[in-house]
Amino acid sequence: MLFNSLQYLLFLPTVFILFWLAPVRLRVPLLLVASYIFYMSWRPEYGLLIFGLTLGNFLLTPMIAKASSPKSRRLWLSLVVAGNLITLGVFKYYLFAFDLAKATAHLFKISWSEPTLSIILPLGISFFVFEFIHYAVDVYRGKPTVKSLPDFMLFASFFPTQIAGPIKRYMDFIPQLGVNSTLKWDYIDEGVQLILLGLVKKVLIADQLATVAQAGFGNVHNFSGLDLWLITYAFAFQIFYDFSGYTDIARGSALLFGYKVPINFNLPYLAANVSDFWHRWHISLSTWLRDYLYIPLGGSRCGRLFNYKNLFLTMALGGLWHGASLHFLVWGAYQGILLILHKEYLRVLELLGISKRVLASRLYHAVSIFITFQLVCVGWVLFRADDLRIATRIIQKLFLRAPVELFHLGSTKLTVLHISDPIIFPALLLILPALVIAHLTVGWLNNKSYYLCPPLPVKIGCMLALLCLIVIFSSDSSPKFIYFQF
Amino acid sequence: MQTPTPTAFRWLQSPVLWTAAIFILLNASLPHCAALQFDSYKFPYRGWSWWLMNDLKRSSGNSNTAIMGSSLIVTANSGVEANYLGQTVNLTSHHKATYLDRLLKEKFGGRFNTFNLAAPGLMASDAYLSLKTMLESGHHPDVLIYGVAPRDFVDSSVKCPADTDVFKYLRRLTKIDEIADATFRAPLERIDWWLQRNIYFCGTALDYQMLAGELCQQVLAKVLPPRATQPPLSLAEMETILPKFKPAATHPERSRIEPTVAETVRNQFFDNRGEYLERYQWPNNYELELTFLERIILLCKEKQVQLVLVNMPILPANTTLLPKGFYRSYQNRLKSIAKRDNVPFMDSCDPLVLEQKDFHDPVHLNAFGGQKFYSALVDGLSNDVVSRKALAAAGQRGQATREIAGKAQPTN
Repeated sequence: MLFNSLQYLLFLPTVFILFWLAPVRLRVPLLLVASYIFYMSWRPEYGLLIFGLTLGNFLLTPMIAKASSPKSRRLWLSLVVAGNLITLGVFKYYLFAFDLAKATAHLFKISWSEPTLSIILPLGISFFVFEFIHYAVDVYRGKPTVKSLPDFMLFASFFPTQIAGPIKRYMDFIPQLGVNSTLKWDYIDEGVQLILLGLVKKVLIADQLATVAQAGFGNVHNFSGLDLWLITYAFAFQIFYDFSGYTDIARGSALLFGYKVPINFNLPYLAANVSDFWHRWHISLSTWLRDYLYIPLGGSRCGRLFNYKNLFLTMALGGLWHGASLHFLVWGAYQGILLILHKEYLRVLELLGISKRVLASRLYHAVSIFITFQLVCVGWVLFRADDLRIATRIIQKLFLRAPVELFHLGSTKLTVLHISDPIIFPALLLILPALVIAHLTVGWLNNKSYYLCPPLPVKIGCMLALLCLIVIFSSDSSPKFIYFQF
Repeated sequence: MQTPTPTAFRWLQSPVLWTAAIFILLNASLPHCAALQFDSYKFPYRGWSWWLMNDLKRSSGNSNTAIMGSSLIVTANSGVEANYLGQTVNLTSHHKATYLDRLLKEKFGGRFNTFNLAAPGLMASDAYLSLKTMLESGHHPDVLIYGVAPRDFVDSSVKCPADTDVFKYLRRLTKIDEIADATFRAPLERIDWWLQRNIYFCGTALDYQMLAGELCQQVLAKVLPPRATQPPLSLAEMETILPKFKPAATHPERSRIEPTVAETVRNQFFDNRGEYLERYQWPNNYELELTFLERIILLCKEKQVQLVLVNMPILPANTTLLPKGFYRSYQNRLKSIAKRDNVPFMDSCDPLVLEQKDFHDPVHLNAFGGQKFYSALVDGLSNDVVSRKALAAAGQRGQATREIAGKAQPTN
């Protein structure tokens, strides 16, 4: 069941009405049933898998707390984490592992025929597993266990965040259950507003840009270097609007039941460096990686080289979490290298004694944002390309061909201008600057009270416009949310 | 200082409620706004039905006969036409059957002007809508020859009658209320249909999308004027870049049929059994599509159009792909429906008349097979009393119409 489908349009209000009509003690079970219906509408048999995984974690994680010695606590933790990771590995990485084994065998001239298995990746399993690991590690660190199975099951399967997050923390989520016993107009107003905004981001922006990215990344030879820069920017905005649209709908849906789930984005393309970018992009994942991978590896409380190793490993594994493919691993490694280079850059600046006034200047900030955006976009090429070979070809064109084309712009033919239908291709030259301006404007407005709490007529006007746009532009063939595949 | 709204009246401050109320008001009032009327003939792409219906819209309405069917009729007729006229025929603009007109004239006298309402992939449900749209647009043929084959009733690639591109386009041109129950059977399809009918913006979404597209084109043309040095990409290039974009669009440059030579054509037999094996997988909609055939019969009776039902020739290589006994039962069903409703029925699937050399593939006739088919058809029509009478009358009406038109024309 997709958020932008007719099924969800019927499902959400039905659950909403039943939830608020039900007695308080029945609300968690009701949401739980709704969440399993939501999940099983895709593949009923995988409902059992999620139930099994949830039950296993619910029963085994308290053993960590109950264990008498640090050694046995560590053993129980390892068992729970390994169980979750093995499940994820079996469903998500088996093909990747076979491919690697095949490539290695080929290297040593050993004949290898991989077994034929047809395992379908359960939706959202990466998110489930990360939430379970977080629970186990937090319990290991001394936080309380969840006593109620329905509460824990709902934490794991809560339908708004089930498929693509945001990755929740149980200490934030579980205390909310049963607290808000009366429906408030604020829940409806804010929730619906977020849902409408999310749908518009998806339908009106991401889906349109998806056509461009699909064409560009699938047919590199048809496009010039400059075209590919435009297409890469288009993908950068597509993935942002797709995922942040999804997150808005998830947050809005959760809010309708009075629950708050974490934000995932904070104007990421206004980041002034890569470290800042990861504080603004997929925040629930980056904080998870920090708390449950980077810090356990040693974080920055060790030597510089070890710190860099930890950074690199964390980001590379974070990349691999997105998908069982080499290009995701390389994308993660690229992010790790950028973070290391940024740390080195800061060290050099310090050694050179560059004045803080220069670093705080508006020009330096603007240039930093511009460069960070370009670096992030190069990363998106690795992320979006079907494989590393295609990514390499695109990057070659971006850096070797595009500068030449830029200096001979008269003779350069931008292929996007030759495509009149769909109109999104030539319109890129207007839409991309408009999106950049929108990003800057929202960044500027973000702490203005007028923007945070506009007058009622403005709110109504905006919501009405969003509603009409969604109804008009919602298409039966809208692509899935990008993060559904992870 | 702003006074907080008392809790009892908090709902008055809810933007969601206000938005919903205004949205409902807009939906109720906009359908009556004369300034917001859209051209229903417009569509985001030009598929077979777009070309057909726009041709019908332009033409004068003096066709006294019509042929209808799927690609089996299209290929047979277009090959015959190209050879008969000795020139390339473009399927997007040539919706005539001049060779058939000649045969009919020779056999029944008078004058014939046949409109070819056939389109590739036409299911019986599509055929019903095509005929209905034709009749509503001021065209009234005296005789309609409808050629059918099993695929027109059982195509597995069509899960619901509303899935076809023909249906999607024609539902804009004619009301489908009477077939909505039969067409939209799944609960979500029904809800979607209800929304389309009752929510203004749902029903006109496509029109607004096209309007937005046109506005964008205009803005772009002003901001980024197209330069002479930027020719649009060719169709082949576009298909490489966006293979799934508007797949049902029919391009004039891809719809040309050249005259053919018998020897060349006969050496080009193509085996498409794989495709039909897929199409015949689940004959789930068989009974439903047969009800559309019955609707066509009823519509013809109501509008006093003489229908002739023809079972199109196909080779055993194709019929054997159907479940065992299906083809025989299908033939019997056609016969019994035709008999029950007094509709002349011709079964052209006779291996003695048409053999493999007359076909492009196991289902589509080539130009020479098409010629044989038409000859056999006209012979069959002359042997049937009802058809003969109807065609003779149609020929006379065609002649009379022409004479009137001739007199009405000013002479120099």
